[in-house]
Amino acid sequence: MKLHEKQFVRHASGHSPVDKEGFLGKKGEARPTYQRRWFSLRGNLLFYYEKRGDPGPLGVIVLEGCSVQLCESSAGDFAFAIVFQGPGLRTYKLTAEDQHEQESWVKALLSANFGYLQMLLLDLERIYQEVSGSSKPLVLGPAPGHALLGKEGRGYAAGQLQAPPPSGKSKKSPKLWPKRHAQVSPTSAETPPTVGVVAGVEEWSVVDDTPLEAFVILHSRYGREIEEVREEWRKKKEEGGGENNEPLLIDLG
Amino acid sequence: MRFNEKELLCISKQPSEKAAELGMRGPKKGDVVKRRLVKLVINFLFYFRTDEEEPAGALLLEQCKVEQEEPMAFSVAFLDESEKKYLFECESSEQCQEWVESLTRASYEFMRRSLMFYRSEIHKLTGKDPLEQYGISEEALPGQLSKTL
Repeated sequence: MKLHEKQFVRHASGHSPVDKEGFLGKKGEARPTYQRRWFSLRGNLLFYYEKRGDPGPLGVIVLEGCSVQLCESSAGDFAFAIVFQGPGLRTYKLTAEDQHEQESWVKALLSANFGYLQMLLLDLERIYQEVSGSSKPLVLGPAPGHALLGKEGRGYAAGQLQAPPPSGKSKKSPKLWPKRHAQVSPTSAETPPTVGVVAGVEEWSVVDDTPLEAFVILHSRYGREIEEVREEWRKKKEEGGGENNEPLLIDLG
Repeated sequence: MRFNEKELLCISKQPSEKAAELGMRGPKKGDVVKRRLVKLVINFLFYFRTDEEEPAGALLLEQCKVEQEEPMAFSVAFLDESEKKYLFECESSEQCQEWVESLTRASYEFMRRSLMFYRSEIHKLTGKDPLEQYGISEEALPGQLSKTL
């Protein structure tokens, strides 16, 4: 598989924040000896250099699907390991200069993976929507009788973001996040007693728009469904020969 | 430059919401469009020859610019090499836009900035640090994040 080295060198050479760097001993893959290398953690990539100040890294370790463990140190090694689970996958054995560095590296590496960041982001997005949308009159919350989907559930606050995020859109990361469902409850309590409009909601997976855009989309689509259901109800009423003279539940004029 | 290839191959086999067969053209003069299965996993864009199990290659989606080029095509270019573009041809403009959005948000740095934004906004609105509330100590935060507030 081809990697484009330039992309990594560029990423490693100063445009992105360094989460942690320092000297570590690295055990060779085949050899039992440890080599002192300069390590630099940026995001979910751990770069290592033959010498500090080298322009290009000797190598990179992509930190996904691994665990980080403290190791038994034989000679006061302050050792720890990056362990990739799976057949044929590697364990990187590293040694730090002292206990403080050992612990600091382990902590840094544990929180370096993409999934962890995604989880934090998911949480904060949810909190933000709850907190910024709570003063608005129209809140799209869970439909009555529907259980919350737990972490995966989303209630959209219809409102505006106080300050636009850098790209102007909400920050959903599309990759490993499960499909999200809009849980919508009608603001007016009554709908004509035919096909449950709510049933149609479940199939919607709401997209990555800002709450305001999402509301507009939902509103127009919801409005159409209401119209269809109302049409059905009206037809049924006509077919019924006008035997029940109930007034229109919703008089839309 | 060495990298943990086996582990990256494993990553490339993870399920992804963003995977599709697209036309792909490399950035060099003379590169032609080829059908590739293009798959986004974490901050890597893997591309597979259509009949192969292992990816032919991967693009690291950091410091890159993703933009729509034509109604049904988008490009990926890297900072300081912006003329060298990877071009991807889609089946529809809707698909194209979805890919542009997804790839734009795929970088670790983008997510980190988003997290900082939300953290700061929530703090402004509530006076509380949301991460602290959730019992995340300064030390457990991805590096630079601990300096946000």
